[in-house]
Amino acid sequence: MRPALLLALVATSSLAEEPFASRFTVGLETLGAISLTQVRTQGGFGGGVHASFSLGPQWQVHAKAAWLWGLGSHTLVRVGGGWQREGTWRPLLSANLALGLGGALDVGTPDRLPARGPTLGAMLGAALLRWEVDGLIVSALEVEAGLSTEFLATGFRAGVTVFSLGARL
Amino acid sequence: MLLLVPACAPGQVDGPTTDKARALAMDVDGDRVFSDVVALAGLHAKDTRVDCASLNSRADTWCNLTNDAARRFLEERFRSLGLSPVADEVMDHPATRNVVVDLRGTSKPDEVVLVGAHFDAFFMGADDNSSGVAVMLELARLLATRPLARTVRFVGFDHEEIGLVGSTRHARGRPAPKVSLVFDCVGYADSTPGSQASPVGFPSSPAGDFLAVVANDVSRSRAEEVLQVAAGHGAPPLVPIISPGLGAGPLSGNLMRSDHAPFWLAGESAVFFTDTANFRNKNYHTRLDTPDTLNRPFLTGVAKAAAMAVVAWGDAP
Repeated sequence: MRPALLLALVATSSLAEEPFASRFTVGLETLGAISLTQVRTQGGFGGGVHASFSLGPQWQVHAKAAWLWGLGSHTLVRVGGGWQREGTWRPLLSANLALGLGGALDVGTPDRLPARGPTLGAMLGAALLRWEVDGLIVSALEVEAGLSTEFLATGFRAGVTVFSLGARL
Repeated sequence: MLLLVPACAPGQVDGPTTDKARALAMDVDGDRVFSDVVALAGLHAKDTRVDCASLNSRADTWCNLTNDAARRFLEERFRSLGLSPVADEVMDHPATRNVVVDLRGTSKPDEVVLVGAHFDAFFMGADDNSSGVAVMLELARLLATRPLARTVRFVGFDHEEIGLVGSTRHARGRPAPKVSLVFDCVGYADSTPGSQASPVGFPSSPAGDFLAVVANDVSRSRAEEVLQVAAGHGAPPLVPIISPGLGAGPLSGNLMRSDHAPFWLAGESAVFFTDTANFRNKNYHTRLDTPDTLNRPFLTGVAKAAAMAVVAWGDAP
């Protein structure tokens, strides 16, 4: 807890110098995601939480954790950063690393089965339907796509955040 | 200091058992397996149809479902091997009569390895599922005079096509086997590029020349054991497919379409052998599912893989 507290104090102390109210945002989202390689499919629908920290009026870093069901259940962790437009309409373009932990459909190559393990991915995303009003951030139909691997093969990863709601602390 | 190390970890079969499994597989008689398919398909063609009106359907497929003659054939073949099949009958609609026979284990008779295949079929049902029944009968022939450490229970499941009815009733009514091996559609193969289709979300395969070894997280180590003992020893290419969890997720439903599913849903260990049915065989559930469309070397290889798997599970320490 101590590093988080320190980070919060640093952020709060610099608020007076910034034109916007707070650097921290937390929220909830509902989404679907899939990672598809030649030997492992991981995906599903569900919900999660997210937190972001503003580095300035336009740049932010963020972390997201989601719990998805479909092919078994798995946890999807994403960390990344992005650029957002200033103003009420705040479209966000982002780059993220993704880690999928848990259930997946494994399809081996002939006579060989992949070892249990996570999926790892890198994605670019766009949240064009995104607005901020009075510290409340609402976004719909965020899309992201990129590459995925389970360390044997490389494939495709994609996700759609159907709805996201965040609030500045 | 006492080291509590298992003799053989899950997913690994010891050397002597592996050797025994491969030796038994050498005795698989492919001609006998295929002749059983021909006999069963012929019986389905002539058998009295199940009353499709009682199934609330008069569609052509449902009005060409048969089971009686194949059941009698199965019982007679078991008896000819010196075994004593028992009819496990449930009269609730739809009435089912599974055929069950135990080959008692020599040193661990209370531990059971179940081998099952459904004997009801649409039309002639050569691939679906005379092929699976024939492979089960070949295993019974091989093991009848060479019992394993554990009891091997052969089960002919009734009315799989109606909705896994016989296997569901069997799974609910008895103690859990140590592991189950289920065959459904194991005789069709095509090495032509493009001959294999895949469900949405599954990796695509170029040709339908492999045997799918389907397991879930519970039975994953059993699939690993199948690969260990059988791959490259007379079996067709083995492609393991592992469904997450119990396998009951909404996106993995295509892996639950046969008699292993009731065992999965009960949290038990079960492995499913299949040629992927309608994802490969265009004759699936049609009048064209006839013996001449099957691939005999592939069917023989499936019987060998099955023999090796059952010995690995039935005889390992």
